[in-house]
Amino acid sequence: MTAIPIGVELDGEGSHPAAWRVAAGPPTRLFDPERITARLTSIDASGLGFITFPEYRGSSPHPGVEAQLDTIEAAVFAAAVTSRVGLVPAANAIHAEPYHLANQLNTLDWAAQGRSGWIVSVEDSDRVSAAYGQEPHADTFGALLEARDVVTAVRRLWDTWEDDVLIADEENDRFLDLDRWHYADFSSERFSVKGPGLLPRPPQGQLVVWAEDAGAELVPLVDVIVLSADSTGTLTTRAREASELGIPRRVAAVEVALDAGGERAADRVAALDRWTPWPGHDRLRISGSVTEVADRLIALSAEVDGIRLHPAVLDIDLPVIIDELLPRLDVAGILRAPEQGGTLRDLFGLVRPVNIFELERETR
Amino acid sequence: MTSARISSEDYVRPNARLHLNVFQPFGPIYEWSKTPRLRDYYEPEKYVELAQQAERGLFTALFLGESLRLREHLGVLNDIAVTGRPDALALFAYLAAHTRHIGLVATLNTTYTDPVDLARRIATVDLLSGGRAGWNVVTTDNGWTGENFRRGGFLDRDNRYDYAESTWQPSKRSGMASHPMRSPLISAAPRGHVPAASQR
Repeated sequence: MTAIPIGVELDGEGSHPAAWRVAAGPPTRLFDPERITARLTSIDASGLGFITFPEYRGSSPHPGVEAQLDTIEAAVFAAAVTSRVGLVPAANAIHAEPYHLANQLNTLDWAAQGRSGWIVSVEDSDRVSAAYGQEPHADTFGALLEARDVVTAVRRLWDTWEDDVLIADEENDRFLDLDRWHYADFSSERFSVKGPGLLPRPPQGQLVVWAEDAGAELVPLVDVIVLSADSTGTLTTRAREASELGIPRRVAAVEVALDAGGERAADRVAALDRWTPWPGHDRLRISGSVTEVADRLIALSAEVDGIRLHPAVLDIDLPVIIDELLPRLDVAGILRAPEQGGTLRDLFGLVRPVNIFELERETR
Repeated sequence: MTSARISSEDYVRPNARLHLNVFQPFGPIYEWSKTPRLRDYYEPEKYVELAQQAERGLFTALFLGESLRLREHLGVLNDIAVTGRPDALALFAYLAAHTRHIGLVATLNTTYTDPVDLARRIATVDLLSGGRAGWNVVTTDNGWTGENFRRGGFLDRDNRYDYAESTWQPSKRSGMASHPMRSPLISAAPRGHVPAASQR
């Protein structure tokens, strides 16, 4: 058995669209910072390895609650109240200003002391474009090229301050070393960005870059891919394909509903479905007792480098996951918990990347 | 409201109280000989110390400046001063968790940021801080800063302020659920309108 990081997606009140109806607080308290803090600290103490913050995509997955916090700021807030768990916000690359994105995500990694990542979304709908007063791309390929340019520019901006750029040399009256401080000078057919970025290099060198089912254009830029498929067989195949493409780490997305409070998971889901049916997201969905769910996850763990759980209802399923499921996975030897002072790269066994500008200097 | 000038004689306020802001145009520490740990000049924890101190001193708000391109001298990056800083709103999400009362006012440029992003991000800080966010609205007047942005072309003086106003209005409204520009990226409404100061 290999121990792997197991994380959780914080999607509103849960993955089920009716989750908010059975949440512990009234809808007026969904954005209450104390409530959010309590949830985050319980996750941080649990051994769960990472939290992902999905972006609301306007396709009405949550009738009645069409609202969401900004994902990067939600992750920075989480950084302030946690000390172990990895924090991974999704942020759309389409129409984004890479300069802002690079600085915001770098600020997150500083705040989280190296516990952060970025899920590159490539969301190019009419609604998203209209919000920016822009037109959507003619095809997926165009969107992927834009995303590739944005990610490349962001990564380059992170490297513009080399690790030892700060010198505070009083004798020569220099705070920074000009030889280790660079313009990004990124340019493509679509745009250019001058640089340097606004902060010294992120504590991890580069944040861990994630994508959900990346297109080929993004593959070389991605550290972690999140795989979704509605069967273990397809997940296994996808994981092998991602491996062959050279993507370093593969994480399986799994929706879960557990027996809780004397109610069977299937009955709980059926009751929620009467409000709003739980749409299929082309994700593996496991429901049942702690033992049943644990057995499925243990089997799956051999095929991937991480698992991301999507609890049906956070207020109900998360306590069962934390109190009963995780200890069982730990006993089975498949749970890799984050360590105090560790980075997200440490958790996934990813090395700290060499700075692009350092490489350029050495090969000159 | 009339536009007549008000003099101190016809506006006597014997019980007036002043609001005090801490204005921090750059990082948490200015002089770079002050700490042996060089990362302190950028460390969010150092901003926490500053914000908590200001809160203890009963300041109304912490007010942060913004610059979107690092300074140069004769075409070379200026290497003699502490320069660069965290993103103000991201930093405020951190400070919100570490303070209880103090206002958090960010200087944010309308020239290089889309209204939909500003509205969502400011509203988020307002919610996470329990209603303590503020926005100092500014514009930029040079193409030099614009070189850091895809949509970096700058506008002449009159158009810049028209553009700022057209940014500000949708930003205010898109914090509310009923705006026709309503987008999938808009967050929950802030606690009432976020106070916006216009510098002109």
